Amino acid sequence: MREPPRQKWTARLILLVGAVAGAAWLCSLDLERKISTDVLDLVPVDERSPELSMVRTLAGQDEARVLLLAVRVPARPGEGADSRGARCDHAAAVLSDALASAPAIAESMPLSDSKPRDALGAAIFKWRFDFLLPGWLESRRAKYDAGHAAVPWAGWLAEATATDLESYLSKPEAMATQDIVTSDPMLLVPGLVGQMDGLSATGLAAGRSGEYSLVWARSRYSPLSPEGQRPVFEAVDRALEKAREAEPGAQMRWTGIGRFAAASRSRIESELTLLNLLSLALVIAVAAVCVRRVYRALHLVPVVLGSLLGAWVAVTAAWERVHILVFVVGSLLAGVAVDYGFYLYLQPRRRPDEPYMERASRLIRPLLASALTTVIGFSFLLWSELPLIRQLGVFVSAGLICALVTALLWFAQVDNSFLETRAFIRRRPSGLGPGARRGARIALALGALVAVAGPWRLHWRDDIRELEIPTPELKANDADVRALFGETGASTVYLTRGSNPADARASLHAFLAWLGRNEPEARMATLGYALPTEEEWGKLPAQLADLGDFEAELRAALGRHGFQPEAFAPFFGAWESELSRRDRPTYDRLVANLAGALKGPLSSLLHAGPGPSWFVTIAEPAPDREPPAITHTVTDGQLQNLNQLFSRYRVSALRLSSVGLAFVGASVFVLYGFRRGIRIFAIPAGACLFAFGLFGLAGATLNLFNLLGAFLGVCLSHNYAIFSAESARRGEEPPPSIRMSAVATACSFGVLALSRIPVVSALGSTVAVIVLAALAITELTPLASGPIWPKDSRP
Amino acid sequence: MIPVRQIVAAFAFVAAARGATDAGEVLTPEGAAGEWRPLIGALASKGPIEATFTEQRYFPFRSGPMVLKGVLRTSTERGVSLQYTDPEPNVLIADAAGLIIRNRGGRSREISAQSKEGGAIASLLPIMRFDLPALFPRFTIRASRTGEAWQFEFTPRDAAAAGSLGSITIAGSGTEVRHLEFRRSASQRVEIDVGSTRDGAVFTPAEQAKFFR
Repeated sequence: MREPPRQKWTARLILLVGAVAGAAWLCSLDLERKISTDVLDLVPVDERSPELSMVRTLAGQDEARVLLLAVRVPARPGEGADSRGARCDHAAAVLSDALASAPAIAESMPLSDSKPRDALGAAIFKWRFDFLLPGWLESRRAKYDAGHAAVPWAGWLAEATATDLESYLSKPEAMATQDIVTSDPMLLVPGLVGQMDGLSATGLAAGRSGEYSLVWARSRYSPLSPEGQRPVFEAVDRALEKAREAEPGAQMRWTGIGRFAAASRSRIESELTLLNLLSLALVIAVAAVCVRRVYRALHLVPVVLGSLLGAWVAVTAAWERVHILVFVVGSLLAGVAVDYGFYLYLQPRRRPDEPYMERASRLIRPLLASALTTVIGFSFLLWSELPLIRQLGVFVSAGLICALVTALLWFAQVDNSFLETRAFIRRRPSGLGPGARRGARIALALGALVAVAGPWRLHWRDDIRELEIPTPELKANDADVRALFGETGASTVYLTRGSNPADARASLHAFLAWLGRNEPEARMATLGYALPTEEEWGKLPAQLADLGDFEAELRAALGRHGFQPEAFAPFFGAWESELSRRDRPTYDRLVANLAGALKGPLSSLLHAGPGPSWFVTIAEPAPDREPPAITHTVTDGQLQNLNQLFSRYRVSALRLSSVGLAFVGASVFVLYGFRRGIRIFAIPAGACLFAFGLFGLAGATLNLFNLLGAFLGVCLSHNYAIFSAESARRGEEPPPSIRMSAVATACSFGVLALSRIPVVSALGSTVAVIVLAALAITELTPLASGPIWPKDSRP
Repeated sequence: MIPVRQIVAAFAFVAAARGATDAGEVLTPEGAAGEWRPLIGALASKGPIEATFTEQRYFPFRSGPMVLKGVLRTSTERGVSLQYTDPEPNVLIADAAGLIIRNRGGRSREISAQSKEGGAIASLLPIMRFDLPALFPRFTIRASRTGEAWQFEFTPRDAAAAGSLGSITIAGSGTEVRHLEFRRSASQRVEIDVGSTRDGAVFTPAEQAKFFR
């Protein structure tokens, strides 16, 4: 059958223009910048979740650029630990100097370098009345008020100060602070040091750990950008060479976010290539097995390519940055897009001279019904909060439309657009006896049982880390290096946030109170202890004015407790200056003074914006439960998995999917009427419930991507139900394209199930199970209800 | 932090010897093998002991010393432990891994022996064990003897350490340690008088857990 030349050339022209335009668009893109591997690009820029905005800020701040390096040298024969330690320190110093001179590194220092701690100590001591006096006065005033003391406030405070000082001198640590006690008889600074004891266990105070000397460094650029990866790795390599020149045999372990980001990008890129090729190969293999003249199956390739091209163009045109995961998951389109090729290509002619347009017009209704209902369903994902889901919605919708258009146009310009399938793919077991019918019914009943009982056993959990390929060796290395730096599992790191420093400090106040109530034995360390709340700071002038003749009272009290009051002249001088002071800084300035004193590793303990700010608190042991929302505090574990946030996205996706499915179902009822609509819709719905039931009985824990996979699977299996119904309406057997389509889709998604990215694997396995279940229902239902197609109607 | 460094440095009980009037003989690694060998050997080979002690802390801003009392324990394997009982219960432990301060509630604060501060503290252990090979690189050691009485004075070779730690003196009679002094200056010092001593003490598991790491 030869098609009209005008039809063929028109189709070719449209295809050519589309292909050239699409290819030109993609060539014009800077794919390096367009395609992101940053998991934070998967979530909205204006996400209202404070924990995510904190992660975003953390990722963009200095904290994300930190590199932790540990160096050791081999022991020489008979060498003592001191000598080896000194050589180790030397190697660390050389390494640190070499790093500091590299353009990719902003800052580097051996952890034994006490300058950051000295700078902080000096700043706190210098501004001790600003930082520490307001809280000190507040707590003592509360005690005074609670005790209903008969003596005046100033006298009571002086006596309490002298008593506390005398008691303090019997503590072991008093010997170290005796040099500052005459300047600080209120023990403001020693008191802070006592509160910060948990910090000493973090490794920040130690320059060595085991055989290793430790180096802290910070890269100049974000570790998520190319500038923050390879140049940094090269700088580290060069620094190690320098260290080895100084200390032959020096060994190093190091970690940094850049290592994970680079590994993730590399692995995802290779996976993208592999999955796409494997998926395409499997689809072609399915076609090759099922059709008579295999080479003619190549006509299906342009359909897949047209679909992928359209999807790439649409998604890259719609978004400034597109996450690479969209393209990985998008590889599934090969298995979906080929469906329309199957439906058109495998549809037998009614008569040998039936023209393509006539045959296509017979199929256009189910084709449009299946394509548009799926597109409508996926279009609802555009209302999702997650950019990833929105991008997937556009990718799949555009891909399906392009697949349908490409299939219609491609076969319009081919003279012989019918591909005959092999006999086995068309064979129907309709002639089997009651045994087969019973077997089919039992199978369907068992499936129904699984669908009813299994879903109740499902567990749901989301973890943003499942969006990336796990890198166990890097994770193990990271854990080891961080352990050397004192970050062990025994302590819990909390981040307390606020929209500004004052809010953050107020939240910290609430959090520390909660922590104290829930884990009284916890050792806590936070720089928040070094800052008053905004309220305490505002009350300081009035508190000082209220103290009256405190100075004279303190002199007398010190004398009563065996001290020489004149020895405390440094304190009294500073106290007089404080009382006469008129130019106190604003609260924000106060916080900035403290933040400005944080250098090197200590800079991670506090982030004082003009805007969002937070405090780090280290607690050991920590309560089992998460801090209440009112404290605006999260653990670093919560920040790592963002489970709560993604659970919310899952609920949102469930809502959108439900609305989408409702529209899909409604469109079926409109097109096919209620009774047939019910039968059509029961197949994908039953397959979906069966899949969830199966996962539930298997004890699987599902996530957001299982849900998305279910939605996709329902839309796809919905197509099979429509084509089966259309065939039944015409009194024909279901076309073989349904089987081929289902098998190709299952293969394509089965490939995704092999992905090392957990969420991609979840999506792939869900769709594959649903599609196969839908195919099984489509096949078994006629068997269970007896033969409905006369034997002589088979092609 | 400056205070941290000062605090942990002073955990080493910076103090002073009672004016070392007799400078004594400067020991060298070679000289230590001479007439001092029997005494050093006897002191070094002493097993675990348990003794009461009285500590006097002198501060430049107080008229008189702070007086503390407690129990001293040494263990060959576990280091040295000072259990303060009066006026406030505290336990101070110095061992190979560093220093631990344990308060009345059992809450511990640790300082690593490998940290800058802990490294200085770690030298206390070899002093108490008379482990002279470990001490010679760090300290100038002087020894003097009058009859049964003897005295060793340890002065850090490093000037900075000498400034912060001061000198450490151990005095005794026969094979008994009777007095320890940590002297930074005349007005900044700690004196520890060792009282009744029980040699060959055996510490129960409960005592080991409570008074050692």
